[in-house]
Amino acid sequence: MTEEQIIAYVDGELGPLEALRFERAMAADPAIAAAVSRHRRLRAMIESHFAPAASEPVPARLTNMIDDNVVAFPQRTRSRFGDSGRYAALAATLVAGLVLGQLLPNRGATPLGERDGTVVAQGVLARALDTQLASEPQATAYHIGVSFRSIDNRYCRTFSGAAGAGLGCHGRSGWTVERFVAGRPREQGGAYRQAASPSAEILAAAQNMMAGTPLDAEQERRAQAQGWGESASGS
Amino acid sequence: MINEFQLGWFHGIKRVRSSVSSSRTASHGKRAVDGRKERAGLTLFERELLALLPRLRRFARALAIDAADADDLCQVALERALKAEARWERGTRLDSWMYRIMRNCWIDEVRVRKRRSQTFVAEEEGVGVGQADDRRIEARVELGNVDRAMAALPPEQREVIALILVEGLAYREAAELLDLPMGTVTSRLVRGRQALMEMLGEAA
Repeated sequence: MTEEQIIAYVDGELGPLEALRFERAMAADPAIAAAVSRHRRLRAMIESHFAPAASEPVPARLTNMIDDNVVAFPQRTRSRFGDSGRYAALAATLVAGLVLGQLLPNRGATPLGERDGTVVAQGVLARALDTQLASEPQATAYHIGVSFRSIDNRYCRTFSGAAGAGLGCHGRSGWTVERFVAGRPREQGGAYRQAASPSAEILAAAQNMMAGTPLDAEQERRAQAQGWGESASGS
Repeated sequence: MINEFQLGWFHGIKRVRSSVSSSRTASHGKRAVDGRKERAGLTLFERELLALLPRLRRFARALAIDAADADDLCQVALERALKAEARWERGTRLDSWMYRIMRNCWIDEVRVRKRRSQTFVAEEEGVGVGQADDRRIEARVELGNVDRAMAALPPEQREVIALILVEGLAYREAAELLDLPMGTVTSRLVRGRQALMEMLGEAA
């Protein structure tokens, strides 16, 4: 059995008869079986190493080349974000990728959906982002943390729920979810731990996107009344 | 010389971009006249391209290894694809077409870098592209073993590994895309895999 045949078997490139013959030979020779599992491990290792790159949010500078209307997370310069921030954000998006993978298939009933390549809030989450005021008591599935105006002049809000915490910004097609970190911010008593890691990571992301300070109760009420449209350009 | 490398692979991107965006605006207008404008103002080509972006970024990462280099590679490949939109035939696979464009962009860049490194390190004879690349990547402490091992592969092995192991293409698809005979693809795949296994050792 040549190495080429072993690799072709691992890659599923043998015809049905060849595969059958190969498996018979493998059953008789533990060395072949060992080589197969070595090559399977290598393939899995390479595959899984690069797989997360396909679940990261695509930078706006790329999507904008095709469609200017796609609202994506603004590309950060290294100096603003700092290297540690960059990797924390990367870790966060990896987690988001895993969670979204589970949430996205059931459309409609889920709080997150996909529209034109971006992840958007829908259902109860969209309603919470639209209507709930951080300054008022909230007894719903999603808790709104802070509302703020982003550097690229959108209204953004942090939220947390049973599945994790996130950050949504309002654009033309509703609330784009810029960040989502899985976790259980809800404690047994039903209170929210703001210092828990998902919320902390989201707050750090919010800090980086924020222009000025979070909205106060009055500013938040006004923004909500105006439907979270483009925030006033004058500060 | 090192600093110049660290500036990134793709110099002058901003200049290219501005010329593209103006030509894009013009073509948007033309499409509206053609009556080919579709939902959300995007053509089928543009919608498919948007949907492909995550996979293209993954492929770019496997080729260029460095994340910033990979996105620059994506940008250059997208520019080339958008200019060549007319050459894509509806009904044919856009992913293969895009992989091919991206791979060609990457090879162009590898050649330029090879020439440049030969000029700069003429005294170090016999340094292959893969090795020169590897040395640059090796200096990056935050990169993991897999990145380093991939970076150390010669480009012709790395692209075969990227297409088949990372992107999951069949041997025949990879051979067609690279315009190579099947035998060449499989032998590069075998050599690439052996090299990776050697470098990654028992971890693999």
